[in-house]
Amino acid sequence: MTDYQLSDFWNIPPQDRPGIILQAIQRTHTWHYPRNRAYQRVVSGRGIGPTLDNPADLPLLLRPTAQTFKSYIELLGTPFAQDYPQAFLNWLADQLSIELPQELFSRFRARYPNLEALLKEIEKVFASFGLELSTSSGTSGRSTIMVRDQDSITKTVESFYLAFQRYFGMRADHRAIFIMPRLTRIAMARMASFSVRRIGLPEDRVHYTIPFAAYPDQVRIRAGRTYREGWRGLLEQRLVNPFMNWAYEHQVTPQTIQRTIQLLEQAEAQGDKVLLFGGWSLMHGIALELRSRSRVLKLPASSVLGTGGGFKERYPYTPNQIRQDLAATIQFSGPLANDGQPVPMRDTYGMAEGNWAAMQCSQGNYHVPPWIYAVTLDENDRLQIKPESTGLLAFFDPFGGGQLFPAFFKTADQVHQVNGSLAYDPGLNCACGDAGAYLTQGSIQRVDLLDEAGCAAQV
Amino acid sequence: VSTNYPDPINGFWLPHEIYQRIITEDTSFTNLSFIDGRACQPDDPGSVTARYPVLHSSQWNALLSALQKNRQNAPTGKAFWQRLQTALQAIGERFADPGYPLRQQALNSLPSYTGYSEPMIRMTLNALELFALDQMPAAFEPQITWRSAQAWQPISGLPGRLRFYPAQGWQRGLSTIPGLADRPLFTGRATPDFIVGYGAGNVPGAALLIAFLALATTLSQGDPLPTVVIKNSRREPIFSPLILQALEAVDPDLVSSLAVLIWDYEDTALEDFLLSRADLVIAAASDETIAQIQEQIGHARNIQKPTAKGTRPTPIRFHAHGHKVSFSAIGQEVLMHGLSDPVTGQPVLDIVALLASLDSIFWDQNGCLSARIHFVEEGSLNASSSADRYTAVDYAARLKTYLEFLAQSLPRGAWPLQQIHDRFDRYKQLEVTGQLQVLSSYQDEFLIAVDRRPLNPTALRSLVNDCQGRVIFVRPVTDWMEIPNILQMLPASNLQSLSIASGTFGSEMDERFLQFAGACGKCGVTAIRTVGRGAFPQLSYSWDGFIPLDLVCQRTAGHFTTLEFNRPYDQILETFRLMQQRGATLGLFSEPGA
Repeated sequence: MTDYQLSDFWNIPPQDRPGIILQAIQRTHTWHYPRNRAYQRVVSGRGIGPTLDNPADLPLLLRPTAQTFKSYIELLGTPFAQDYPQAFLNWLADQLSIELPQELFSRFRARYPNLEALLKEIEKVFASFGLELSTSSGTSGRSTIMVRDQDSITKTVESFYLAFQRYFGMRADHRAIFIMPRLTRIAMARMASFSVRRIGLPEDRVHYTIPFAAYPDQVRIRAGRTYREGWRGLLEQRLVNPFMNWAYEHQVTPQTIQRTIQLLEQAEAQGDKVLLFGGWSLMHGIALELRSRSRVLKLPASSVLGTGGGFKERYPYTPNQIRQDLAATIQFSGPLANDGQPVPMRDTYGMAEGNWAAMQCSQGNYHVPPWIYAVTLDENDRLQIKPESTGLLAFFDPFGGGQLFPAFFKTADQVHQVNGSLAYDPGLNCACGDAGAYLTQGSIQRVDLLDEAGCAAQV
Repeated sequence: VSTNYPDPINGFWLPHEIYQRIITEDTSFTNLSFIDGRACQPDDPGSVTARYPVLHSSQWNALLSALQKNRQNAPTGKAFWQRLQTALQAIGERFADPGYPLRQQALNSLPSYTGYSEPMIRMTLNALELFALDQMPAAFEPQITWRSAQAWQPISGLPGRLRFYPAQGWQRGLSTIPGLADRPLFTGRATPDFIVGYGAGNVPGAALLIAFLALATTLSQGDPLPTVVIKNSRREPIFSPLILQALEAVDPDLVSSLAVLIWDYEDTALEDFLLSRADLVIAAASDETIAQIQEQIGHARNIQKPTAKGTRPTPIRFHAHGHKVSFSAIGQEVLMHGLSDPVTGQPVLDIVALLASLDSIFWDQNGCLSARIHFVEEGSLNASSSADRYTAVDYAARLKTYLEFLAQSLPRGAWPLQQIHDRFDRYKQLEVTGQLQVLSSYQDEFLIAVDRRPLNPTALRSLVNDCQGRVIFVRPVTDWMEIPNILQMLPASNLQSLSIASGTFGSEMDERFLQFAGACGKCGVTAIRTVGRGAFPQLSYSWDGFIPLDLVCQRTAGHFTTLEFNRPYDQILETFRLMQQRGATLGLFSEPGA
């Protein structure tokens, strides 16, 4: 949609970026509108035609993340797409700007034993398209199901890779330790791990320390918020869920922590720079285990700790407490000036629908990649064109969706954004030195749009 | 902190003479500032600040003594009620006068504080006399027997019928035993001396409604007025004090035993102080708050002092009005082609659609009475008679016209459009199923859709929960009796009213209708009224399963459902004519006949 490479955008002055991206947005819209039935239905319902002539209409292109690649649930009447493969395929075909050959639909069985089996089959049957299906974390049991082709995967990997390099300082001589399963469809985890390979890390320096796969149904059952109907659901609820939680607590977590510490100790011994990346609670588990052993790990300069995804379950510690415990147990080794300094902990903000992640810089702010047009919306869904604004985050990524879908989304996250949109104020640049849009530290929060005002009930 | 903002409005009310005594220069106040229905800083442009006093225990003691003393001079029984009606009539006229200072204060403060549009508030002020109180004395007279657990019973002195649903199903069977059916349902008088009320939410007047109900207890046997202390809503503390101030100006004795204040639920010492003295507690609040009050009542019971005779005090009775949902049901009789009101000439379909849309949009569906799903009995579309009837889509199209009209005359409040937009997107996508049709546009400040998708409890809950801020689903049913089958998928404790449009000219309710109403009552529906009456509930009928006699008597657990009419079709036409007659004054119609 443009002649620029993603990495070029950092070299374009921030005030010039929106103009280039807005043109790309217009082209992306024009390309997808006639091809993508779901997109066309939504935006034409708002009065938008095949071309976007008025930039004031930009917000009308935004689809809510919660209602796009998750909308199969409402359409099928169930989150269990495996029970209705044909209906799910029709939904999928509707969401994509490429034509999935209808004649291939007949190759699918009437139902599949689980979601993973169906997703695998789709990848197999449509192998010539190079489709890859990933999911959101899925702890609610109602997964977003994202589709990417090779082109969009390359773009997404490139996007993550550039951000890892820039904000985490990742280089090919790092050792990457992911506290996550090797086999998972969770989009953020997959993209992060692909991206470190793109950096050039050899296979033997990329580790996954959760020893089991995490397929959508396993994640769903363990989270315990959505079960199948009937006897299967009863079995899941009464037997499988308690067993999985027991196993997770007594087997998986201890093994994961042991394995991670082993790898960290190896890196410490060999003087390898480390990227340790995992969810908040497991990162904390590492810190607590090290503390119980009265052990302080010393890692070389440029090592970094990374996390993302927030808290998926109730957890008794705050991010600040976790940061403190990590700071006390994972520190830099020499040179002298660095010795004993905590290895920095950087958070990442992203979502399954995004082909990008905003990574925390040294100042704690989350930097939006410069090829993304990120804006906040006011309560009436109007763009807020100001150097600083608070509202629902929306983003236009004219590149990430490739030929599959226009990645123009309205998120459910309220943020305070600086220097997004067209209004750029160099005086507000982040102190880390990176010019461009960023979300300020501590400002990201999920919003519940429903507010009880009167005596009307939510049932 | 800048102090460059208007003086706070009193978000509380005390009889003037008590105010003079209790509120002194030393009294400390807490301020609450709101703009567009949301809390803000007092110096935010356009904010409105209300204040309430923080009383210490000796002031509370003095307050209760003074209220108690004032009871002696207040009128009682029907004389009291007659004077109250006269006073309401008088203040209704004053509030309709654009120059009346309290009206101006209400119009200057309530829209910004609550978030509701100015025309919505204005219409309420112009319609104060529509709170019909004349039937209330009759509501304390009926002799209700266990027969009402078996079948609909007439309510002596009032139009409509009543039925009781015991909490224990076996009691219903018991009432069929010969001789037992005529036993009185209420087992003993318990006229309250001291009533504590809780009004919450941002729908204006919750405290006022509780005050009227509490004061109405004098109608029971002409007993002295009770002492009434009501906790006012922080989200709408202005309306009730203004009306009480106006009432006091007309007839101070009427409201001399009543106080409306704000205090913290967490102030357990104060809660114990008040609740341990209470005979009756009436709370209109969230389910969470209701649970909290229930717990505090339990605590207060334990510290209640024995009576002067050394006997245990009467148990504290609790009338809880938690969060509720309401619906509309449109019967096929009113969907027949060619029906019109003989007086105004308006087509009945338009009359029904206008009144039903008004029921839904009032208070922007933040109120428990606002209809969410409109069930439309379109019969079998294959039947030959179907050609003579309008379909659910026809009805929805008319509803859309009136929602557009009401968006102009009673605009939506200052609520984010994001919710409506998200729902529009969500349901627009479902059009692909061929079972759902969105009739409104993205730009409309309401959403209306016809939904024929199969329903299960989860889908129904989701649909019902989406209906806030002017979101209406029209749900076709083949037969009237499908409606209770759908409603029973929802928790009975959350169901409230059903606004119906049914019947034919001059006809009373038939057996089919009563059977339908009975099934709805069994599901938990507590009030069935005709369309257009939702915004102005009548105090004489069931409110969440309690009827006025419940204020002064004890009975077995269960709920009442009331039918508030005899001839539904005729009442709908009457409502429409009244609205048309009063439309211009109410600010509802800019032109006659809508």
